[in-house]
Amino acid sequence: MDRWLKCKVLKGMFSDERAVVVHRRGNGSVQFFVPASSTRGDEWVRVKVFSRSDGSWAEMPTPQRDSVPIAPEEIVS
Amino acid sequence: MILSNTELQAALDHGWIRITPPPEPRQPSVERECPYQTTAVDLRLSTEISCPKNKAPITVDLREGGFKELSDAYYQPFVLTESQPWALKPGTFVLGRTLERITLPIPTSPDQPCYAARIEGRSSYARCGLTVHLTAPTIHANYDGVVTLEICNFGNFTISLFPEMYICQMIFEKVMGIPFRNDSQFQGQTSATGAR
Repeated sequence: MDRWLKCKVLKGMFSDERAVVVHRRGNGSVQFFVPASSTRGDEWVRVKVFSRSDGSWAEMPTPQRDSVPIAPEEIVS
Repeated sequence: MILSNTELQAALDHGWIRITPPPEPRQPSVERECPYQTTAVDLRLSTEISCPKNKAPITVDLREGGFKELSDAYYQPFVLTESQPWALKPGTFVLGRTLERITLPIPTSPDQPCYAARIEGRSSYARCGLTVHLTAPTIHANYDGVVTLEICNFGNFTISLFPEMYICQMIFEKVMGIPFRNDSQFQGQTSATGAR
């Protein structure tokens, strides 16, 4: 299911790409390059969210489908 | 195990590998260059490249996404055309992308094959000093997108980059076993709640 994850959206290296910086729970931040169409404004990136008993993960819209652990309150519909 | 061109075309026909747009023609002809080699397929350069601006060098800390600083301040897109190619001078570097989008779906049943791929340069271009990737040539199973190319001229001559020129080759390999992926890793669990 698609959700929006709070992040920082910056220009990418190509015109149709954005760099998103996602804060990792308790462990700094990570950066991904995603299609511009998967971002909203300068603070949101569309993700798929998966959960199990020990936590939740957001799958980024990268070609490699990178995932990052997140807190449920970081996600909006 | 590397796929032959016939096995690759069969995989494309089954949808186990997707290349969009599909490379054509499938067989050599006198009219058109065939992109299929015996065990690889040639891919083309997309119209947009990303070029470092001429600025004072900076120090980048890669540990926490330090290269995000590079995107806006130090790189600029450039659209290639037939009349305005990019002149890649000796010792310089640009980012490019394949025109083709590669999709390597993870199969949903064990009787379906799973594939990964490798991107490599073309040997004829390499003789001129042109490379198209610096590291990590592997395109993993579950990949879906165009392939970013790190194009560098290690030769002594300026090389012109034109849109849709054949720039690299992709070699496909069969994956042993079915890899887990994010959604199956969490299969059976509920999706997250917590919407504001």
